[in-house]
Amino acid sequence: MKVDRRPPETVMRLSRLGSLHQCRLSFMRQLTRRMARENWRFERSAFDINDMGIGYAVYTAHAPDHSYSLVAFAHDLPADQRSDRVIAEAWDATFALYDGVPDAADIERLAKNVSVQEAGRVSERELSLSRANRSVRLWAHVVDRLAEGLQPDVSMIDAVGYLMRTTAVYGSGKFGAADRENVSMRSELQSPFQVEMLTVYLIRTFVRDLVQHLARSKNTQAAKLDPSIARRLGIGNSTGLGMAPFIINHQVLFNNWIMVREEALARVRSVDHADKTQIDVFLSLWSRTKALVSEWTSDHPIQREKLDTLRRDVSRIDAALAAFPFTQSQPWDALFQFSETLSEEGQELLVSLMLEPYPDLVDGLASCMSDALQVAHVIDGTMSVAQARTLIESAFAWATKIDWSARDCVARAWYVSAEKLEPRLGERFEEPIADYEQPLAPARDAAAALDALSSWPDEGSVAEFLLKHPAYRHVIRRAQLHQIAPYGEIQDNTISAELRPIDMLRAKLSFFGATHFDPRSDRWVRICMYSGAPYPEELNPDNADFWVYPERLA
Amino acid sequence: MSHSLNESRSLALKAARGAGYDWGIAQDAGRAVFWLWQAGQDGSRPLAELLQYGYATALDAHSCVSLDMPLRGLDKLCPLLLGASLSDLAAKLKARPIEAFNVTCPVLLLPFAGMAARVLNQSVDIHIDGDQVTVDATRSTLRSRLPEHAEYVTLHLSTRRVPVEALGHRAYPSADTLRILSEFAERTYAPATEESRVLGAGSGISDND
Repeated sequence: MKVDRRPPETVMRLSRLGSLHQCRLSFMRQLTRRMARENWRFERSAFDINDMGIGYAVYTAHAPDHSYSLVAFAHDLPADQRSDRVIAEAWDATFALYDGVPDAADIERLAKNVSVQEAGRVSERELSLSRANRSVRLWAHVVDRLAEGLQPDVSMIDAVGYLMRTTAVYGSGKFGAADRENVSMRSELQSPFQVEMLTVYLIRTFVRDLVQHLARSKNTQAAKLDPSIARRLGIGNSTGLGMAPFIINHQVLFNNWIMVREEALARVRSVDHADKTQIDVFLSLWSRTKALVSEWTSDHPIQREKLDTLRRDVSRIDAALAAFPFTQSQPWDALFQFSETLSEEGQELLVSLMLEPYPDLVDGLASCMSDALQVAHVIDGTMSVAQARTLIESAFAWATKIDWSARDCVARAWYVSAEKLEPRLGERFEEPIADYEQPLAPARDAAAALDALSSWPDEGSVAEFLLKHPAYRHVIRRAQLHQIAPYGEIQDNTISAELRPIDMLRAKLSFFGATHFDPRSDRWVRICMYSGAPYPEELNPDNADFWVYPERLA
Repeated sequence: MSHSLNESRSLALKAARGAGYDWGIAQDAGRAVFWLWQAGQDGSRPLAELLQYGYATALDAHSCVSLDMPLRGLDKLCPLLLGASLSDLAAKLKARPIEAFNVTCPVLLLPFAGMAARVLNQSVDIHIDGDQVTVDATRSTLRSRLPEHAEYVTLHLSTRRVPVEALGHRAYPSADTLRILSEFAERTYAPATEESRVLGAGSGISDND
């Protein structure tokens, strides 16, 4: 019996989106599997960095039909300028991903522009622009220990997780770079965020080499960083509010991510019988997942509470699995039914894990995760007013109980600050921001549109309505898109006093494949990427997939 | 120095919003500018010209009085509002041509005709006074600059094919155009306050760790 996808009203709540975990559809894992499968070749063609850690390096990844080069610039950053915020103006390292292999003139051009990030310009030859700062405590520890001929303390490595964290990875046309539309037809870049994931993968290699270089600069007899310790190191990422508007503004793209994961889950739940191999994969990854959960720390009260709950769930899952009858019909559906007794963190952890034994059912869906028709949606103005009303009512049925005249329900407003143009979330009744509000409250706007539509005759057309009410054009567009993108709408109030933007950030970052979510506030989160991943010289089909699960006991 | 098409779209969206258009129309303005650059035309310049007329502050005068043919306004028609109606009415092109009088910056209608062509899966002819242009979903036959104003515009379904040429993938807005659009775009940004720097973006914790 084919099991249905979970309905959007279950999946698209912010508390659940804020509990999502990486899975085999994650963009990092799609990339590492592809690089191994296609036998990509990697080379470090330049590493011109002095003893102070200043200079540049070039790392090239050769895919079957194209080459991509990370051009990395290492800087000497005074401690007082080290900020994760987008308003920073200097960084420990800056990067561009070059489309091809750069020549000396390209390097010279990039040296001038990349080191100043937003203040510079890149060209259509660049696919991404990014920067990273050191984790000061871990960086110093690793350099000093290696210089002393010793290996770094593994507990310190695990406590921080990374030597550098990126504070922005800009792609698709930002600051003059190539548009995604120009390269998305390449098979290796068709899936979302592959440019950004490749950038970070190569940054991680550069950072490992740089820390080794600086240890050798202190002492030519410095120890070589143990590869098994190096592999534990990921790249951190510090993410602010910019990601939250993204998942509202990219309604179809976000729908595709969620819908694909839900379809993958439905397929696995529908499996009649599990083979021993599949059960073994699941159970082995479950024990590795426990290590992942046990190593996950956060100082933030919200995440600490979620982690406490998750750890209780882990014990309950352990107990359930010890006696779980995998031989029953549709065992994964039975396991899913059990998961519904857990917290949303626990449920989503199990859902992600259940997909692991089934690459044949799941991985092909990855090709449906991009939005090839991003600019193609055209409003159907011939739709009747009655149909439009029904459509909006059905898309926003969950919002009918919200009283949009209550201050708490509209307490916040999204706006863009004049300073560095970063998205911010403000207090509508305490700051002068309402006039600058971004259209990031679809449910409130839908309620207003319904109000306006109520005085129009049923048989009138949307075109006529929009002629007189252009203010609701974006509402009608969203409502019509909802027909093809049922998982594209967050089913919670995105401007309420209770909103926690980190839930939106986590939803997006989980699809990147991020782990170790560590909120710094309700709107700012640090994560880890590629921890456990094989480096380019180690990458092969055997280690390209499950690296995210630590091969150590909890 | 060239710009990416997404930069041009994003600037156009913000500029249109900053000039006073509603978000949905501003989104269409962004798509229109993207479409024109992709079709080999400067999309940013006509938008900059249009925004300087300030139509968004008097929408009732510059949008169609009704959707009865021919389309006309109380004053010159804004091509963004007219264009939005044109694409909304795309299906009606199957039955009869769409006509409009007194249109400013008519080149901005081309992307909306392109949207109609996409919906109908058929090319569309646009007559703009003495000029005739054919568009399909992504391309147009326009190779010269259209006048800044048209007295009479008609759209009808076409059997002509638009030659298949490589799509433009960069934008080359002039410094003047960029300055004008940026000035409008800046109106969408809230002036920063120290409070918003700390509260609005999140963490006040030191990152030097």
